Amino acid sequence: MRGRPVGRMRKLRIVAQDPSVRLRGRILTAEVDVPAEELGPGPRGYRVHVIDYDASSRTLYAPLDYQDPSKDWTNEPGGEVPDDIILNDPGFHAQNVYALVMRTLARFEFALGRRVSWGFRSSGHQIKVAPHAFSDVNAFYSRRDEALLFGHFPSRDGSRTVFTCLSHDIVVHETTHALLDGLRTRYMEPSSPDQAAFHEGFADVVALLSVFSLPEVVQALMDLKFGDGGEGGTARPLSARDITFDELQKSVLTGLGKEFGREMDAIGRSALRHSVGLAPDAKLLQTPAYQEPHRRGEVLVAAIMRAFIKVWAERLEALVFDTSAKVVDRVRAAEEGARAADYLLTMVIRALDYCPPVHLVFGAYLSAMLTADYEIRPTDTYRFRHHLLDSFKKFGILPTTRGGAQGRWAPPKLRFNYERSRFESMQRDPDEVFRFVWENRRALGLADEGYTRILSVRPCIRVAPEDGFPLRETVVEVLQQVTLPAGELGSYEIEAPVGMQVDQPVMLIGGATVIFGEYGQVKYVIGDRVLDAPREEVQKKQSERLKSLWERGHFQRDTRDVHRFASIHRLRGLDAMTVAQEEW
Amino acid sequence: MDKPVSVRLWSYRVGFGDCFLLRFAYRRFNRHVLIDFGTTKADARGGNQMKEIAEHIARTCNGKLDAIVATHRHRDHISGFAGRSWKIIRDLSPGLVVLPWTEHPDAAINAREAPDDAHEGFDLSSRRHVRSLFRMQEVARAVCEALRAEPPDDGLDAVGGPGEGDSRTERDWPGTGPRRSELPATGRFFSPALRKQLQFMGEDNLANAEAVKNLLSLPCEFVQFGSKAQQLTKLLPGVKVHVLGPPTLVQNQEISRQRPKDPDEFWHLVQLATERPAGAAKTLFPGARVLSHEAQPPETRWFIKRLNAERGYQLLELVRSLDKVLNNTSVILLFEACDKKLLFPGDAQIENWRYALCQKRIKKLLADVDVYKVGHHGSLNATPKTLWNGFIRKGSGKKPRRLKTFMSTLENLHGESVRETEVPRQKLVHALRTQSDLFSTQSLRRKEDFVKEFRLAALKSR
Repeated sequence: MRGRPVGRMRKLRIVAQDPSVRLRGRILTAEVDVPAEELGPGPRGYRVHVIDYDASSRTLYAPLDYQDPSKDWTNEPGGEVPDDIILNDPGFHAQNVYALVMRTLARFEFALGRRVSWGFRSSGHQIKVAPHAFSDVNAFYSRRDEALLFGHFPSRDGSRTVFTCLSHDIVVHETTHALLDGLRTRYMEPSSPDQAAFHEGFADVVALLSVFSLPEVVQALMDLKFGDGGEGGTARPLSARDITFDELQKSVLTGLGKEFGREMDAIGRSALRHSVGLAPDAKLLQTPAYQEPHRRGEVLVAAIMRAFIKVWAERLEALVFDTSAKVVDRVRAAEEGARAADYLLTMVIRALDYCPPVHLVFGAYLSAMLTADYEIRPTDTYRFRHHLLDSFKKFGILPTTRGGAQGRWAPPKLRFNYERSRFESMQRDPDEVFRFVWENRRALGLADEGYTRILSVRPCIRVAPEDGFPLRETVVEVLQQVTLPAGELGSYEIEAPVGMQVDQPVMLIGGATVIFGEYGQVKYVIGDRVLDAPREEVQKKQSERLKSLWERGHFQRDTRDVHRFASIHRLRGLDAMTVAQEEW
Repeated sequence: MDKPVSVRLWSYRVGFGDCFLLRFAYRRFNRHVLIDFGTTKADARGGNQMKEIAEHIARTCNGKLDAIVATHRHRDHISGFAGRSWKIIRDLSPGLVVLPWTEHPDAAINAREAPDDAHEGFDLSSRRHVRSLFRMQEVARAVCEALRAEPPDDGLDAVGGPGEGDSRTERDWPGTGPRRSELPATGRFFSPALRKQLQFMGEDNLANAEAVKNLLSLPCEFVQFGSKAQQLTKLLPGVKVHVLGPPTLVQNQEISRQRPKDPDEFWHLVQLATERPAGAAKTLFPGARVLSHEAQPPETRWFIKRLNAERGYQLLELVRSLDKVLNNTSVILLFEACDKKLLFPGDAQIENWRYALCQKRIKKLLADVDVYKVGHHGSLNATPKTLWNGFIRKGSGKKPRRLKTFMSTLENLHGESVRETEVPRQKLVHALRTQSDLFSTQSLRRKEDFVKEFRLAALKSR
């Protein structure tokens, strides 16, 4: 590692899941690729700055410096690292978080076809990462500290320290919060129960798929289930019986729960285990327990992971029945699983561009996934779209489309006026985009009463795998807001919640994500208007949101704590329930 | 059968805490029940009031106290059962102490197997619950120690902690850097405002070992929702006693459809308080190179300061959780005597109340309550709206047999009005004032006025 990195990528060694997962007595690790860059001590790179400060002991550990010759293992940071170093060298912990945060960032940038920013108010470029931030069974993203903070704590028997910074899925989960916050800033704000649940559910999905996209992990799970043949032995190949949906669900998903990350239970990982094993139930989301954000998010995880296993099982079945041997090599099966996970990971991230800027519901996210994938791969080769539709339906979630085929968003029916705008400039200039939006406010369904602004303009290029040509799109977020006293809501056919004072100011938010195609034409307008007199359902949805926010205490007192991921994760660990409607 | 002919109540001003003495007067004798006796923050006018209050109790009950109800183990409810005031109370030979089931001595030990006793729902998980509850109190000690380890206040510190005393939402925080007022001074974790809150809540949650030991040295009755409270009932002939809380774990699970709880449910909160004092040998990585305060690279200092502030905020969150779980062990008692209903819920919050309030029968029983001791000093979540809305005797000043409410509280100690968490919560106080005959201990203004007597009920003479 000494000297300049060569090429675009660099190999770094990480803990594959967490140090409790061992194979033949050794901690399971993996080699991953991250973007190469000139690293300073920390590591400190162009997007990530690791600062190893422990606030519980007020200790600042010396930064990891790849130029420092005193650490042998940093000579070749992608090579094997002894367990003792993994557990006891804070420098390795710094590398582990750096590599995982950068890998996740790179994964988002790959999927979205552009650079992705953090969501800080300062527009800062480097997120601070503290691998040993404090003694606490918690890890979280803090927007105001511009940081990812990872706690450490003694194991239950007190014999050793558990480091959340060494848990692959926890690091990716927190990084995903930070990235999602940069992409859809308004998703941390109060809206529907679905939106409150989305941040947690989505971060879990990305974390799980990130873990599964390492073939080392998938193979280890299979070895744990079917045996690894012992020292020097050969693991038996999988038979047709081993690779059915039910068997894979048991061996991989349930296996993940049983074998992986037990130490992290208290940090909400037991909920993760619960979600992957959640049985389909179309009425689950209507039950009171699943109005709680952390529980609701589990349904999203369950629906997506179910589709993943379905696709994987189908691909393995095809392999078995196409050969005379009727068996599948375990390494091949693990690679197929990792590939399917990787594909789905791209799909779930890419969908964010096709999501509304505010008021996300699970059905809209489903439509976004289906549309995003269709745009890049019109043929459903992997049958992911088929299985996602089916799986979401089993959990009672239907796509939120108005007339779109197979659950996808429908192209707009109205005509737009392109005469007065310049598309070249519209790909980067919010004022130019606003001009277009203003000229077309009726076609875009914007309310005259609203204050309108452009939240973001993001051009992106993705390569279509089928023909190898790039897909160019520009994604624009338009936000509208109207603030009215509760007493005036009725005149817009919105119901004020029972018990709300007439002079209570209520902010209504709406808006759209507008996708422009290669030639500057509007391909999709995704979102809900803030008000729309002819369409009753818009007012009805606003009434429902207000009611839900009222019941969850949003208008009753300062709910800032609820927005802090520190609190969200702690509540998740406690499986706490909200009782705001009983408070004064 | 004997039955009381009148009921009187003495409400004592203890600062921030609770102390109520009930007298059930019979034709030939009186029975006295003391409900809580504690303080965290004595009133500025207070002086050595705990001793004076104990002496007043002794005089009022004429040397014999029949029963003590210690609703839960918070210092502001039981501190009077230790030290000099305890000697006075003990000499009144209390015949019975009523405590929540979580105080059962068998539950507090580190037993590995469920005890073979008659307590309904008192199984291994209940014992673990209790054990981890008490372990949580260690947290309070750790927090108080952390506060003591802070350098002394030099008067130069800015006001306001991370998120405290500040109503701005997170998105309003300037990303370019926190304002000076939002951060502790160099070398400190806690700003004065945060320290004040931590100290107050930390001290209230310290284990009151002496008071608990004193109470357990007397004959005890441990109760839970639905207990018959036979011993208390025996002491109070003609009085119906309903125990409406706290629920057992089994009862709680019935209503919340919760997943099986972590057997050491507060374990992960406890870890938060594990402090390693600066300079202590026991660091995470004994051999690792560390940088001294002076050697901190400039590019890390902004962040280190922020992380210190975040730590203070976490500790506050932790003591709040601890405070809440202990409040929810409160005994909730409803007395029926002389055709009146008197409700004493301690500091029970909604999580404790929920089991009782989800039952139609109990809601009906509570509807015509005549006297309500306001829960948890008037905090925002200890008088559930479902309970309050169900009271049929509340109403305007002219309403016959209007609801009487009693609140023992002290303003400006707990919570903040800017966050709408102040205690007492003004919105609730307004409702109590306009819809019931409210008495607040804060209305006792002069030093010598530390108690007020009320006649709550009397049988009409025939």
